[in-house]
Formats: sequence, C-alpha cells, structure tokens
Amino acid sequence: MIEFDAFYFDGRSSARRPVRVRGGPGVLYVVGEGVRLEYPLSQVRVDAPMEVPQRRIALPGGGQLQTSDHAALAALFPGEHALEQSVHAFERRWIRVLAVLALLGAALWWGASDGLPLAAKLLAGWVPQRAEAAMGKGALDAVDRSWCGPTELGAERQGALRADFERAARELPGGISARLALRRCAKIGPNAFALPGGTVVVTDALARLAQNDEQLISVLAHELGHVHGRHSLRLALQSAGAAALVAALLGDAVSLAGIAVALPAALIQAGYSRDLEREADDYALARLAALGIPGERFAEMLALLEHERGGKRAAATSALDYLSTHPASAERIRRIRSGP
Amino acid sequence: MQQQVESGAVVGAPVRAQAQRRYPVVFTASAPEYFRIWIVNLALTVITLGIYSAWAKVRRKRYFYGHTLIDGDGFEYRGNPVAILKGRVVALALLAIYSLAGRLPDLLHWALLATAALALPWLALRSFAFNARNSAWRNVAFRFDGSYRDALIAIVGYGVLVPLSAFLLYPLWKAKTLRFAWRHHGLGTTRFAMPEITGALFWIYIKAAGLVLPLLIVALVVSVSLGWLSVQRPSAASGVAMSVIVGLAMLLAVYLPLFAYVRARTANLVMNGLALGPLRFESRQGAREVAWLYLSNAGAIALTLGLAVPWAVVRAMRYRASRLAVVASGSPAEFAAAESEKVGATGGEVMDLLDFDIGV
Repeated sequence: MIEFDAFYFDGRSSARRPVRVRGGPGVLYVVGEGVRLEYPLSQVRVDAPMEVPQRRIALPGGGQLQTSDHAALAALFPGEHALEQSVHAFERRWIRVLAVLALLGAALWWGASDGLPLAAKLLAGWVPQRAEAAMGKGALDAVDRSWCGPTELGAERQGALRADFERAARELPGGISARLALRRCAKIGPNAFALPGGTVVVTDALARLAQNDEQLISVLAHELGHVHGRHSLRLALQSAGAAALVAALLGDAVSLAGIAVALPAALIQAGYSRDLEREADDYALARLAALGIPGERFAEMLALLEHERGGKRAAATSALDYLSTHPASAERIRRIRSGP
Repeated sequence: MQQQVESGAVVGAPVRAQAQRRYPVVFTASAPEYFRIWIVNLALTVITLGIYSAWAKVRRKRYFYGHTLIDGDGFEYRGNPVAILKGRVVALALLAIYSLAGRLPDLLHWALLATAALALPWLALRSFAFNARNSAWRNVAFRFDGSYRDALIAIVGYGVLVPLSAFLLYPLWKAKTLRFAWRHHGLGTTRFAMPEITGALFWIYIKAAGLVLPLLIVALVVSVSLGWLSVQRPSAASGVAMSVIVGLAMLLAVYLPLFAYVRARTANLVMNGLALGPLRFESRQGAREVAWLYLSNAGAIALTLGLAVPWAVVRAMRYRASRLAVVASGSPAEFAAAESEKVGATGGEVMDLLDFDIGV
C-alpha cells in the first residue's frame, strides 16, 4: 500500500482540497474533508515524469490529484510512460547529458562542415534541370532589373567571345547546357558569374580587361566549373539547410531569432562558397589542360582582376578571409601556380 | 508557499472584503535543470530528423508551465504531441507553397495569396483554441471562443491596412489583434476583459520612434558609407566584412533598445488593462531592464556558441514573472470556485482531431 498527500480538484471549480491518497493493489482511494473516492487503478492516468513541482493524476470524470510526492508516483505507476521515463533518466544525470552534448556537438560539426554540403549535392541531383533553369531565369531577370543592361560590345567582339565560350564549354556532360549572357554592368565592374541552370554572365568590363583570349577562356572555364558542379543550386540548398539548422538550435530564444540566426548561418555560408570556388578553380585547370592552355593564363587573369579592384588592400584581408565569399586572390593564384 | 501580500488594507477600512490581495507570479525553473532537458530534447530531435520536436515542445512547455506558480499552484500543459506534429507538417506544407508561389503565373499567385489570407484567421483560431484548452490552472482549463468573422476582421481586415499605409497603421493592427485574442480567452467560463488600447499603443510607437530615430540615422549613415566604400573596391574583403560587422552592430544598437522598449511597454499596457472577473494584473517591466536582458542574453548566446540558450530563456521568463502579479479582491480560490462552476468536460479529445498547434 502506497500513501501520499495530494490536493484534489474536482474539475468543476478551482477549489483546492487537501486529501490523503492510498494506492492499493489495483485500486486508488482518495480521502479528505467531504471527499471519499475510489477508482480502479487502470482507469486513472498519471502524467509523465519530469522535474516539476507538482505531478498530476487525472481521475475518471474530470477530477484531478496534484502531488509533489514524486517517489510515491514512481512506485505506484512503475510501468507508465516508458519513453518519458528513459528520457527523464537521461535528463537527470549530468554525466549522461554531457555525453549526449559531446555527441551532439560532433554530429552538428560534421553536419555543418560535411553533412550539409553532401546532402545539398545529393539533393541537387533530384532537382529537375527545368526547375533549375526557371530559378536561373528568375536570377537573370533580377540581375537585369537592378544591376546590368544590354552589352555595348561590338558584334564582332561578341562573336569572338561566343566562340571562346563554345570552346570552353565543349565536353560539358549531357543534360547541362551552358549559355553565355553578355551584359554591361557599371555597378559590378569586371566580373563573371554563373547562375543556376547554366547561364554564365560576363560583364563588358571583364571582356575589355582580358589581354588575350586564353585569359578570358580561363575565367569562362572557372564559371563553367560552377555550372558543371551545379554550385548555385547547391549553395541555395546549403544556405537553406544552414538556416534551418541554426534556427532549430537557437529557435528557443525566440525574441532574438532574427539576428541570432542570420549571423552564424552567414558564417557557415561563407565557408561553403570558399570550398566551391576551389572546386571551380580545379575544374578550370583541368579544362585548360585539355584545351592546351597553360594554367598560368588563369593566374594572370586573376592577378589582373585583383589589380583592377585595388589589390593594394589585399594584404590586409587575410585575417578576415573567412568572412569573404571569394578566398583572397593571392591565395588562389598561389594555388593555381603550384598546379592542380 | 502562500506568498500573499496585503496591499489594500488602509487603516480603518470598513469592509474586510474590500482588501486587495496581491499574488506574485512565482517562477521556480532553474537554468541547469532546463539545460539538461534542452540538450536531451535537441539530441532526440536530431536523431529522429525533427519528428521528436513535437514531443520536445510538450516537454519544454510542461517544464515551464509547471514551474510558474500563482498562489502555490503551478500551471499545467496538456498538449498532445501528435497534434503538434500535425501542425508542423501543415506549417511546412504552407512554407513550401509559399516558396513555390513566387514562380507561379500572376493570376495563380494572387489566388494563392487570397486563399492564404482567408485560411490564416482560421489557423490562428485553431491554434489559440488548442493552446488555451491545453493550458490549465487548478484543473480548470483556459478557453478560446473567437469567431472566424471576428478573426478575419482583426487579422486580415486591419492587416491589409498595414502595407497600404506604409506601415504607419501597424500599431492599429497590433492593438486590434491583441484585443481580439485576449477578449476571447477565458479561464473556465470567465472571459478576460480588455479595454481599447489603440491610442495608448500608438503613443508607445510614437515615443519609440522619437527615442530611436536619431540613432537610426547615425547607424544608417555609417553602414551606407561603409557599404559604399566596399562597393568602390569590391575585392577588398576586409571592407565587405567590416561593413557586415559594423552593420550588424548598428542593427543591434538601434534595434535592441527599440524592440525592448516596445515589448516592455506593450506588455505593461496589455497586462495592466486586463481583467479576469475580480482579478487584475500588474506588470512592471522596465524598458532599460528588458534591453539589458536581451543584449546580455544575445552576447551570452554568441560567446557560448548557443550553449547559453537555456540560461537566457529561463532568465527572460524569470524576469517577466518577477514583474507580474495578480491582484484579487478576495481570494482567487473563492473567485474561481464561484465563477467556473459550470465548466465540465467539453469533449476535448474530439476537438483535438480538428486542432493543431502552429508556432515555435
């Protein structure tokens, strides 16, 4: 026979009545001033174990018992809430919680550094080419709206660029079709970027900056590396995943979620872009080798770009390199010159 | 356990029943305890790819409800994890539809938006009802009885005015939705009463704007000029990084006090106007205290890579509880007994089938 003190609430009013509860084999007796109740133990429901001041027993007919005698409840209902009992066993011991924390930390570290990129890569394989092309079209429209206008290069120069592009893009694996979009983008300067679906945007300034076709082809090959790896799509998927991960971790701190989520997700994101840049560099070098163009042309082109953008400040960037989406050009040039 | 404070007993007050009793809201949760619950919840959520999150939510809410006590008795959370899981599936589906909507032709896009606008009040109603019915004190559950029509007017009707007025009428919408939500909540059969707060809420936002506008301008000038510098020299990664960092710091410096001020004053405004039968509420949150709370919480979370989240959450809740009290003419036990006699079992299980819970 298990006995404990409790408060009885009949469920019709919030009046609190102190009672003595006795749990015998199969029966629960509730006795107090003006209260004399008896229930089969199988018809009452105890709530799951947890570190709260009071636990509750729901009685048939809407009544309720509240008690702070956790030990008595554990003895009276040994088999109830198996799942929560094991969860509670973990929650109560620091040593177990710390072990769980270590495992969780390792899992999240792996998830953020390798798991998410891997998942994004796999998931990208499932995204139909058509959907990706639609994304790319949307992105190009956005670029045209806010950054760029039609190219001002002469027809002859345009033809030559398209021929260069054809040369670089030949031997892309089936299904991926790359297109060249020439644009005049005064706000962006000399640059090239790959959009989802295989559109490579090249700015007029970049075409003018290149000293020869081979240098230009090396940049195109780099962008085609992004196209080939479906990097834009993977990046979009990765950033969505990173945001979801951080939101899941910090979601509790609701009021600051906006800021708290944005910064770590941005940091993770920056790391991903660096990895993808390197992947595209490696692709470009392999492609250039196949075309019989020395990798040095690529290094020259990067140096030109760096100089054009005010390379004097590049030396100061190393500490903040992790925050930048492009690894500092000096580092990339070194990598390219040292060979793939 | 009874922490009552006699506050209205003026010397020579003729009637004893006129005396007011003040019941502080006692919050007994501890950060180390919640840390352990949080970690186990997180781990199980990761292992089950998110499915356990519904069970985790129930555990979290049970912990905090149970540790929030008035007159010696804690609150009770009765939510069913399966209903919560259902709500999350619906929320995910809505999110997917929303992200797809941008790629649809215009007509379909607008049709979808209109459907969402009509569905939103219904979702809010079901969510309010779910939370109310699953929250109880002394075995008397809360209730929510708002109608779809009223929800549509408050949430969508006034909501439409917000973008149309360039967000100037946001406080109007906020006041209407707050009042709609509170007035249709009740404990047992007793409804909450709430006065019209539109004017007072506008005043809070006006003061906030006056308070922070100069700061905002400074922040804007600094970040824009930094951003401009980095656009001039795009390769200078340090410039981009600096503008990001400074921009965020500025955001924090401006957004936090503004946010804290509005939050604290709004909470006080709502709680101090609220009545539940003979019960009144007393909320005394200080804007500066709340700002410091948010700032220090954010700092702690950032410095510990998120491990301080449980501490921050417990701390914020403890602060709010410490500034809140229930004031009763007579004992709340007497009050509830008289007022909620008619509350019976309302077939909650049947309702659970229709209900789900959206929210964090």
